[in-house]
Amino acid sequence: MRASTPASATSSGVATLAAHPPAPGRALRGRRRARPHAIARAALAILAVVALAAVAAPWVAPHSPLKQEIRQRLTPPAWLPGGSAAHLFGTDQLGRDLLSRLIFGARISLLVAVLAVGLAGTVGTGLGLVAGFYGGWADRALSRLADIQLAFPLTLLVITLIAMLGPSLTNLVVALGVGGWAAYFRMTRAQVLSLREAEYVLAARCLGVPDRLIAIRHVLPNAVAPLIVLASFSMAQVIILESALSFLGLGVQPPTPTWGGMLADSRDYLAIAWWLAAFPGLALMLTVLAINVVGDWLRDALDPRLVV
Amino acid sequence: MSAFVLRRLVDALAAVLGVSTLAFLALRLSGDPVALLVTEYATEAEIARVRQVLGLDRPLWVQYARFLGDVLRGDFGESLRFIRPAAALVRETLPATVELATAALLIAVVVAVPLGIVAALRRGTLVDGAVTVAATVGQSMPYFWLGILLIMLFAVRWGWLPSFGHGSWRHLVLPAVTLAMTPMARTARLVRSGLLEVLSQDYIRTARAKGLAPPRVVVHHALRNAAIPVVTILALDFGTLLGGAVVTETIFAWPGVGRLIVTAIQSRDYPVVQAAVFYLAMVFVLLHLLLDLLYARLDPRIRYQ
Repeated sequence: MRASTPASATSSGVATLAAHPPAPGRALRGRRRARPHAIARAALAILAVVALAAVAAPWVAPHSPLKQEIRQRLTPPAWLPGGSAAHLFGTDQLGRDLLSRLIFGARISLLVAVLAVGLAGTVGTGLGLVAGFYGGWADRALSRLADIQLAFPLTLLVITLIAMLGPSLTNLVVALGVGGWAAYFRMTRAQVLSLREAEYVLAARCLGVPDRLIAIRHVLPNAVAPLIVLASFSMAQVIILESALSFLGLGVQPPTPTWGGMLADSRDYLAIAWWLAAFPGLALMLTVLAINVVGDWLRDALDPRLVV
Repeated sequence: MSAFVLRRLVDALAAVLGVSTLAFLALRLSGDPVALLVTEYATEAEIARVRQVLGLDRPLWVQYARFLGDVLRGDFGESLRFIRPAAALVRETLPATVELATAALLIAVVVAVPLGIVAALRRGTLVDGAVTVAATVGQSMPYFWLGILLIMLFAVRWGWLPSFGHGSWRHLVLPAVTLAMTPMARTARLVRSGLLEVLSQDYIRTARAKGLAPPRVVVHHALRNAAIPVVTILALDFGTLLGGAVVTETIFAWPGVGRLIVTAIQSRDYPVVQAAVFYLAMVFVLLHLLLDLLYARLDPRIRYQ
């Protein structure tokens, strides 16, 4: 069959011209393909800044996030009238430096996200690997449990768990991890079920490689790409969920600064101090946006079958 | 078909049972419920009496059986704070939550579906780019931040709309828009990518080749098939909305189940938390059941064994 659209005509042309200097059309296509990478690079840069701020918070922050200066309370950002060069993003209702609180808030957001996604991913992937590889009653029970849990809204599940366990950093990670394992389980299991029949697995088996090694060395590495994509998107979800819980007072407790907690505090000063609501939200959105963009890029890069 | 419905019903019951058990166990694990009921001056004898009255001196499985029996009769015990049946409190607040979630879902669909269609049909144009960027940003924006910004602008600065309360449509606007944003962004992306995928199918080329008018191809051939994943996600979003309502209702002092849960958690009013979670789980599980049945109507290829 002849190519029916200009796009596929170009791509077949590219294939035959591959050894030659790029034709004008090809250069254009190349640039169009490269564009998401530029955006993804910007997103990675944002994430690097946030991660650096989180790790190096005590050295980067201009002030202590907890130091109150009541006389300086509700100072506007530095570039506004009444602002002070000492407080770039202004101060809050207790005279605490907003920028410093933002920098320390990044710690909680990233720490909870990394730990919770790590916990959910490790448990879910591990169980999915075992269930998919060996099958049996444990597989059926876990699959059923995952199905039931996935049918239940994550926010509600996590809030219920927190309500029972009590709010703290550890409980937050546990609740978010327990809430998240099922997605990894289901995806790993589905991957393993198809990879189990692959010829290289048969080959390994013929060579007498033990099951455990086949699962870890041969099956898992080939199942990992979609899991990475899932992890990146769920990290964005966890960051929003963590800040929502902190917003409700169910997350990490004050005085530890969290972005969600700062947003909750800001509500009493909306008429007089917009910066208290604006900057924590902006930090949250930029971080989540950057993660989502990287996730989109990873998906496109790791799964060439996706069209869009 | 009926066997399928039966199996789904069993699944649904298992889900609700699982949630109830979780609530039961967690309540027993998180500390002595009696400690919440008595004052710090209570004597050992008084504590023992409360324990006996509540049946907490019985073996755990007896307590569990009694708990399940109570749940079946819709009895979750009295709210420790309001001294009223917890289930009644939930039933009174549930309509407001459903109202909010429904309004949000409607807003999301009405805005997102046309945007997604236009973006897909004008793929690669400025319109498509704008919709895609807006959807990505919308998906990344924490909805409770949007709620705060809306209050700041529309209620505090301009005074156009009330920032809290329940009653007229004016009270509904800000919370519904807040809650609608995330599903709106996701739906727009999903409609776009779903439609793009369907438009590349052979049957669309056939429809075009036989000379059907382009709008007819889009509406009758493409959209019908692109609708299936969208309906799935929307139904799942309704669950997300019930979860998101917890936060949104708190921001806007909306008298729904979500706000009830948060205040109940804060005052350690566990019967109310249990009842609220149970009712929301029921709503959600029923919704999933309906959705599965709706599939067969949308996609005749699906036949349930």
